[in-house]
Amino acid sequence: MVPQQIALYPTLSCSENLMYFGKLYDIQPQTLKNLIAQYLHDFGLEEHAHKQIKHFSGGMKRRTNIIASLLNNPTLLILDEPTAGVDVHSRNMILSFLKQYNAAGNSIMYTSHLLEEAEVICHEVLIIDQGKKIAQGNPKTLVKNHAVGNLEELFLQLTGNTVRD
Amino acid sequence: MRRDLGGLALLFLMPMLLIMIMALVQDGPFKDYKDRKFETLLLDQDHGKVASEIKKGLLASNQFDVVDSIDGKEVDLKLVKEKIQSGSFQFAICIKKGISAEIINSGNIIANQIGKKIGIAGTLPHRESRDSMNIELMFDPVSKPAFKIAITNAVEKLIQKAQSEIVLERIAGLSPEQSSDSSFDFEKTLRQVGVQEISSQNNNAAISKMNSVQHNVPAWAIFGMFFMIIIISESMISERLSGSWTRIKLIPGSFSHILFGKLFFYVVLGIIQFYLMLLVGVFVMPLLGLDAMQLNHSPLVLLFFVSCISTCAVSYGILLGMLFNSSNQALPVAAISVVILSAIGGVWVPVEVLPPLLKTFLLYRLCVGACKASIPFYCDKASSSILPFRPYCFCWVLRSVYW
Repeated sequence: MVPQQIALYPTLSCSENLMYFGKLYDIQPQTLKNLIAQYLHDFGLEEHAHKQIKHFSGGMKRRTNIIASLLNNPTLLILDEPTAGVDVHSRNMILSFLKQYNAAGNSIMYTSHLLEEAEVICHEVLIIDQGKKIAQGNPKTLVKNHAVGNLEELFLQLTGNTVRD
Repeated sequence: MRRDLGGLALLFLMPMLLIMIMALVQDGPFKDYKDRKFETLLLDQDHGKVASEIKKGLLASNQFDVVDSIDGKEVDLKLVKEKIQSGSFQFAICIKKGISAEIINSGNIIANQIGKKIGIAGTLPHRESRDSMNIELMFDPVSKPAFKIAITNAVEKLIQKAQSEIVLERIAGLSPEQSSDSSFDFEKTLRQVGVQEISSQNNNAAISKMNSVQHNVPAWAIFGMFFMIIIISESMISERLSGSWTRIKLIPGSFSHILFGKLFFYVVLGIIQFYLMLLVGVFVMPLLGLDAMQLNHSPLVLLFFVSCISTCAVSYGILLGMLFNSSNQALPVAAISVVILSAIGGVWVPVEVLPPLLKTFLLYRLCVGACKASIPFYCDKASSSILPFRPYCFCWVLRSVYW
């Protein structure tokens, strides 16, 4: 699971954080080191491996946050708004990785307010409004069936244009 | 190490500073009256034998400096009152005119009575005894009752000695032809049966002295161990707020293992901290002009106590970390509760002087035990006091962990 908050220790470096969580998963040290090196490379963080998390940008923190959840190679990855507050490059990198991860045979449950993201990476979406399911299905099918341009328009159509608090 | 200098300072430097300052501050009050030298103001309106005997006795004890004149002028009652009220002197002895004459008169009466009983002819001149003749002691108003009692007893002893000598002289005066033996040591004869302190320990160990270092180093080192609860509770709250806690809880396997792992780390840290403080007591305190800490000869007993204390401190930190939602809530509670617990735990003052109500609190036993385990002459007592407490200690730990 990738929590929405940056669930890392700010005074530890990126690699120390990953080593800590990896050890809690009881992964062999050498396997863990290789795994961390691979993910740091995939997420473009290898140069920053020894920097403390508190000195990272929002995007770098998000990417490290995701790596920490990937260390035990979960077949189901749950992400809670993993692109909240990140720069365009980091967002692109995260979404690309998730597509690859999914293509490798893993399932992803992705929670987001950004419906265009869901439209890009999800095979099936479940739209919830005020705790109730209002739509479910393949994004393209849903858009087509409701004769709207995208999921955001669908959401507004289903929930109205008034502001929610 | 460099990443969290504040945390390190809180764990090691602050307790070190605390025990050094507390030991220095409490050095005076803790010093036995025997170890101190008092400046004594002597108002002698009598100019007789009693005053000279009291002065001689006070000086011979090496505990008193006797001052009977200031700036070359003999002190008077007004000056004595001024000096005592200003705190320049802690006490004064006022010997009124006629005291020696009264004691000599009493001596004559006693000598006449004894002479009559043992058949010595002759009587010494005397008159009726007066009841209202007293040697007066004037104390600084802030003097403690124990101090007053100690000084009163010391002065009374000197008066009794002077009286005894006068009585003996008077008896000798009844029959001047039988001159007394000049080689007779009156004081030595009186000291044939005295009072001596012995050790309560079985092995006739040397009698240890309770002093500021012996009390303050272990007591405040324990207090310092509880500084850890601030770090632990804050770390747990931030873990929870950041989501690390959730991440850790989602890791397959027993959550208790992870929690006990954290507990173990901090317990060891607490033990290291305590022993470091003891080293300060042994090696640094003498550099500050204080006594060196004397450690007991049962390191395992001490280790056991310290482990229990550290476990309790860490568990308490975990409990607060689980109980509160923000550091703003947890930190004041942590700080104030540690002060309260230390007060009822015998850290502020030795537990012997605590009111009975506070002595009934369960927690005090552990702190007291650890304090005493650090001190040689309390070792046996400490080990017996901790044993009934162990279940409470571990219940507390378990309750904290599974909150």
